[in-house]
Amino acid sequence: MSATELEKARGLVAALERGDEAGYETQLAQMLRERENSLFVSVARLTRELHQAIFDQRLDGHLSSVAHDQIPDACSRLDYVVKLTENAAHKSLDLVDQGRDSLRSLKTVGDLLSDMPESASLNTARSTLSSGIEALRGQLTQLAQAQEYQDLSGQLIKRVISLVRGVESALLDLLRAAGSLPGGVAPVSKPVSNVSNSAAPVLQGPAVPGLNGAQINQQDADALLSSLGF
Amino acid sequence: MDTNMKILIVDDFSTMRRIVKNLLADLGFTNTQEADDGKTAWPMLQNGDFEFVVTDWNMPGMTGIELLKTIRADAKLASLPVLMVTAEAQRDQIIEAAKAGVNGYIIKPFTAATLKEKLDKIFQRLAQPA
Repeated sequence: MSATELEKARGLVAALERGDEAGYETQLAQMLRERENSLFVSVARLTRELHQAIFDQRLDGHLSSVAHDQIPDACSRLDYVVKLTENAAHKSLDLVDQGRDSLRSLKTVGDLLSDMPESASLNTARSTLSSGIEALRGQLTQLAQAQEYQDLSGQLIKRVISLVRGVESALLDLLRAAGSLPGGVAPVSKPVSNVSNSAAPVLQGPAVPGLNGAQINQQDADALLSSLGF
Repeated sequence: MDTNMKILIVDDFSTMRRIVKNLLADLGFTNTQEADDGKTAWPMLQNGDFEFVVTDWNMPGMTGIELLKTIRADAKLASLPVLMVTAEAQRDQIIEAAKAGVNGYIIKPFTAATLKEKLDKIFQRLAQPA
């Protein structure tokens, strides 16, 4: 403590000892104001130094460009990827539906064949047709199921977009604080939050090998639910 | 299990809604409708006469867990069976869904067999005397 700090402290104690409450309050308020002022001075100096550092490094324009152009572009590209995969998955499902229609007409061929006089080659034809139809049916079902990649990959991409938008927002705040942006400029794109309630636990989304810590598969989930009485 | 049962499928991804719809159709359930969020699903549930809900968890407007809680808190809809089909595979999420009264929980990616198994199980349970 400097000499003046010690004097001020002594002054406070003295005021208390002689029962001078008003004097005590006044001196205390004065000391707190001085403390606040010195804090403001420090913050202002740090902000100026930060702005100077950014400007000196010629990062000012670069960071601004990243925040204003490159990040929104990146987010648009990722959004577009989700759209592309959505269209592709729907197209595949359309083709699966058409495949199922074709199978139905093949089945009627099988029915017609059963009306014809029996023969060894006819029987072979019918059973080959029948097993071929069943195999195709199974393959179409699996093909349809495989399109679920689009949901999982889309969810992961949306998380990345959300993260990037968060970074963009923080960057714009930084630039604004450093005085590189007028105070009234709003971020180009707002961060999207998937969690509507700030007190809710953070959701992990689709499992990614090597990430997300201990993942649970359907068997584990069933066991857990069983233990809870489900 | 009445295959004419009216089912609502809720997921923000149109491709997943389509896959679930097709799987249900394969199992004989053709009376299905879709909603793209818990928010759009809720008025449909209040005004429709749905007997089953299949829902995702992670949706931007109203999440699946919020939809479930809202259903359980409503006098008319409280006992509506709800099956969650979601990518959320953490213990905490499963426990939260169980506590909120979910009837079944399927983790994506899933198979048609799993869907059938869970549906059978849910209705077996519901048919048991209380």
